[in-house]
Amino acid sequence: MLLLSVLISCGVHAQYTEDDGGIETKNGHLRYLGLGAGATYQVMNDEAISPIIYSRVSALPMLTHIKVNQTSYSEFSLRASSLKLTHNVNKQLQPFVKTQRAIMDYRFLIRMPLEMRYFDIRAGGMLSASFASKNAPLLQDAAQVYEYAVSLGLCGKVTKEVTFAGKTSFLTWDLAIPLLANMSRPYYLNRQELADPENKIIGDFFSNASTGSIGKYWRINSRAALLFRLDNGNMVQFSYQWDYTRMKTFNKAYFAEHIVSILFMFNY
Amino acid sequence: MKKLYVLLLLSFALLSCERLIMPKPSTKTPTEVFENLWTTLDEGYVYFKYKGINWDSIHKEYKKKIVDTMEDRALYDTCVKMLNRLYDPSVSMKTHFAEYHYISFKDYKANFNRKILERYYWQNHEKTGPFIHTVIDSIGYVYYESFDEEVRDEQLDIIIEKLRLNNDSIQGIVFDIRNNRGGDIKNAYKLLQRMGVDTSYTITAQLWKAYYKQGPGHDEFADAQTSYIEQVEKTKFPKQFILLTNRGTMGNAALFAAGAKGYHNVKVYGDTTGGEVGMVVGAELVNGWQITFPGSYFTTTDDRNLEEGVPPFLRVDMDPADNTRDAILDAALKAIHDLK
Repeated sequence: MLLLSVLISCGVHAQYTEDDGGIETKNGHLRYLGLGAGATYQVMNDEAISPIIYSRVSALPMLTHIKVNQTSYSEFSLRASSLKLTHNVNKQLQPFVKTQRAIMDYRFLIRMPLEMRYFDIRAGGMLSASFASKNAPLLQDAAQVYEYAVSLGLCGKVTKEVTFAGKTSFLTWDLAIPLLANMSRPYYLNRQELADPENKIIGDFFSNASTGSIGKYWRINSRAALLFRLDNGNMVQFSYQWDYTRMKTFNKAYFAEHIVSILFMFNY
Repeated sequence: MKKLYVLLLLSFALLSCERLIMPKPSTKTPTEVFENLWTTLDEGYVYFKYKGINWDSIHKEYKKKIVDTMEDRALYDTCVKMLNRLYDPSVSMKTHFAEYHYISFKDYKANFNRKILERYYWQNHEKTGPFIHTVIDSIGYVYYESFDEEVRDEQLDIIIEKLRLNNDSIQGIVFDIRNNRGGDIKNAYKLLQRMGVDTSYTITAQLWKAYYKQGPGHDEFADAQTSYIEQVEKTKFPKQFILLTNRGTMGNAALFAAGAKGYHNVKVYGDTTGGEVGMVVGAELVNGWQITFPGSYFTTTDDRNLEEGVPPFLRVDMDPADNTRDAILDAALKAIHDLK
């Protein structure tokens, strides 16, 4: 998939207007569809599963869509991963937690009216949705842990134009922090009422949802990236992202992810 | 100043270290492991009150034996002695060098001998899915060894249809779940849907009540969750239904017996079922040892705790000295004959 993205990105030509141009919409937006992948290092400490910190390195696919002009910036991004987290404490017992996770972020930012010669500063909001399914067989009937969070918060982005290998490129850093979230975590002892034929796990899952602010749901999403423009108007993005989440119900779950990724951004 | 801001921001982006803000890992001393084990059970185990166990005094008694210089093996042995005080086969502990399960020393009769069944009762038997079935003296007989084995509607249709084809001669059904240690509860529902009578009315039957822990206190349980089952339009086992159980009928098999007993045409013969009914919860301790314990309990609809087992309608024991007859099965066959 990566190789295909490279070939398409390099081969597909955007229509030039200027050196810094590309295909623009009628409203003067530049649009990019990004496809890529990254290496992820995930760290998890979930009191519903274990007091021990689990971790693993793996890969994950990423999808993004960006629309930008002089005043606004919007980005939709999606990533998903599936891996077996483990730890080294008493590893003869081969403990593991199978985890599937998907995160969607939507950012909308407006350029700040600041007199900054070298930096483009934008601020706005971010809407996120995340879902995780964890299965820890060592927990027997309490093995399954589902959680989700839908959150709304603030986001800021700093961009600096740089010259890299003779091309105009962009160094960016953005930070997002949710302020309000609706989330759900399992019941006490991760109970699932399997002995009841009428029981619907999905119903339990949503009936256990609650809404709260920073005390219940805390997330920091920090991302540094280099966008390198190709001759044909497309771009390549190299980025490092740190995403840290803490969810608190009657027990706490911590999750952090370090992602090093490369995305090929097709201007259309 | 601007460079400082940039540097600070970059360092925040690049030096992200969640382990600084996550809970600190345990030092895994024997004291910490012991306290973790005791607290996990204190907050999750459901039978302290039911069994009259003073868990706090047990803590005091065994805490004295823990020293931080003790080896893993000595710590394990002390923890096992503490766990033995729960007298619970659902409680277990697993380490990389040993595994603990409580073994009950109560002297129960086996009341099941497969060799006798194979030699004297199962001639001309057939096997459909997980069921061994035959006809003995004009009475249908079905043996189901484990609820882990999937039950499919097509299999039950075949068995019931075969019995119904002989409708005039078949006088009833003996369904044998002795030594069935339980398994998937969904299989129990499929069987329960075949109990009762054929009717066009929608009948809802109460099965059992479940009590789940909802907090760390010994008495913190959610409201009882009563399970019901609706009669569906599926063919039913015909006529009188006698269920055979013994002390080896455990887990979801015992739960099935509790639910089946509620049907007016079902009687249970044999011995009281075993326990281990309920959600078995696992936990990992700070040193990676793994434990299990019951995190819920079930009662019949008239509030008898299923840990005591489901008592039979007629208590019958096999004679261990007689290697040719299964007294429990004979009693069930006679009962159905006598109904004629």
